[in-house]
Amino acid sequence: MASQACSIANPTPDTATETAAIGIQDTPNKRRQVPLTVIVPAYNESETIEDTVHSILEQTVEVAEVIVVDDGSTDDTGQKAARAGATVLRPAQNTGSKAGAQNYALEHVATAFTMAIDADTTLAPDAIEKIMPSFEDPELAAACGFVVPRHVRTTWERGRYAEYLFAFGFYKSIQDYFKHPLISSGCFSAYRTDVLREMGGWPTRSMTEDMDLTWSFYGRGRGVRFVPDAVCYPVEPHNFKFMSKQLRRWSHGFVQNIRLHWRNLIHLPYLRTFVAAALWDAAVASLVYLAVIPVLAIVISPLFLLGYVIDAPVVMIPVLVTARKRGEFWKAMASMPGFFVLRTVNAVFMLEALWSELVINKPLTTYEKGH
Amino acid sequence: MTVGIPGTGIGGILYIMLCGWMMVCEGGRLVRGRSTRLMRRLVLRHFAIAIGMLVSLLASIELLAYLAWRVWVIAPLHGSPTSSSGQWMGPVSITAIGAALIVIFGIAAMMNILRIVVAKSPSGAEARPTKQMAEAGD
Repeated sequence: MASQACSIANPTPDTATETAAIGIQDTPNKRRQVPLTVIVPAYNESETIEDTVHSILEQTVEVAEVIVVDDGSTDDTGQKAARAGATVLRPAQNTGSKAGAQNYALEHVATAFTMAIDADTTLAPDAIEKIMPSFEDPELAAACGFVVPRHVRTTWERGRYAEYLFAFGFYKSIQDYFKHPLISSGCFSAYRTDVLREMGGWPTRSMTEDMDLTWSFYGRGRGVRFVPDAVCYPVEPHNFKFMSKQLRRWSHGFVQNIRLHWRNLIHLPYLRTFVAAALWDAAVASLVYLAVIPVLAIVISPLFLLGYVIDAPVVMIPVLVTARKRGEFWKAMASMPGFFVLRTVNAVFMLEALWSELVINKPLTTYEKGH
Repeated sequence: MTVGIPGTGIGGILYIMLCGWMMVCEGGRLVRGRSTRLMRRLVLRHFAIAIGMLVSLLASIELLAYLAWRVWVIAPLHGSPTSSSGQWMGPVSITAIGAALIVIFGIAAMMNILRIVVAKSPSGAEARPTKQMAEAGD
């Protein structure tokens, strides 16, 4: 029993020595080529698409193809992507979601591995080289990397930055140790193409296709890994308008996926506890932030307002440890107030999602971009 | 916290506990000769972070409780919040952590009861999406 309970992930294989089995080959220009096609779904991403394509093409390993799906953009996203060196595909009409655009491109993939990267996300130069060796494990369906916001200027970006350092630097490594990362992040993940096709591509039935796909992999007995050394840099929502769209989508997506997958989740050790604890926190903490603390502060004493930041030292320790490793200690320190603002705002969207999805059965069905 | 999901309460305590469990697991792997330096570093780092989090959590709760005691117990008795007389109620953080542990074990127990009661979907298939969700998917 103990050995089963301690069934944990093996460390990521050494990049230099264990890549032959996944088909990495040396090319004449000395860069090793990986049998990987990168799909970038894009809708009006003119400002960021060139950086994204360049960051893929300038990796320390060479990918087979970069496909940008120009999903009905009204700007020059497609032209810019083509100029940057990507293959550009244009569906006859807007597919309606990120997953739809990715599935459109999946039909054109001819490599053993497929990667999905958001159009506003750039990669660290060695991100693909770091992530691919995970696929030495034949049972692995997907691998994801560490996410750090590219810009950390506004309160919202700062809040998200601290949130990512906390979640990826602490929680996700623990989830990975026990072989069950909660999500293979949609902004930067690699997949085994045959398994992805077997699953029918990226699901379009929920607001968070990445969570849906990850939990579907687990349901079929496939594995997912988190590779902290593979880093990507997405552009995060910089104001409340865009942040609210993203939080709404994520909150509803979380609840929708619990509805879709709960029967299988409860049979997956560790993951069921991660999800149950997240659901508990999502409901109870949101109620505490939005109802209990304000009422107690008004009725009994303003001292109760300390409840909003009572766990500040607890949050700061993993955030600052991870930030220090990245040489960003003071940047993280300055971002902590944003974390508490974002968390409280997040509570509003989470309660709304729980109410809409579970109580009045009115699911969110329209996909709106976060920026 | 998980990105996009508010709260660090029960989840925070759960992950702190899991860091302790990682130490046990890695110890077992070490004995069986299956531990690697990379994994040991990861586990030790997380365990150190977890200890730091636990200590700061206990300190925060104690500080808040002490503050509340000064304001609500001592001040009304002596007319000044700076008075130092009165009986301190003792370490309340233990009670708070104990309550959190009860919730965590309650959640884990409920998951296990569900696991026994609810059969796994055949071939790992998921539940059908609601009508509205299915329409959105189309």
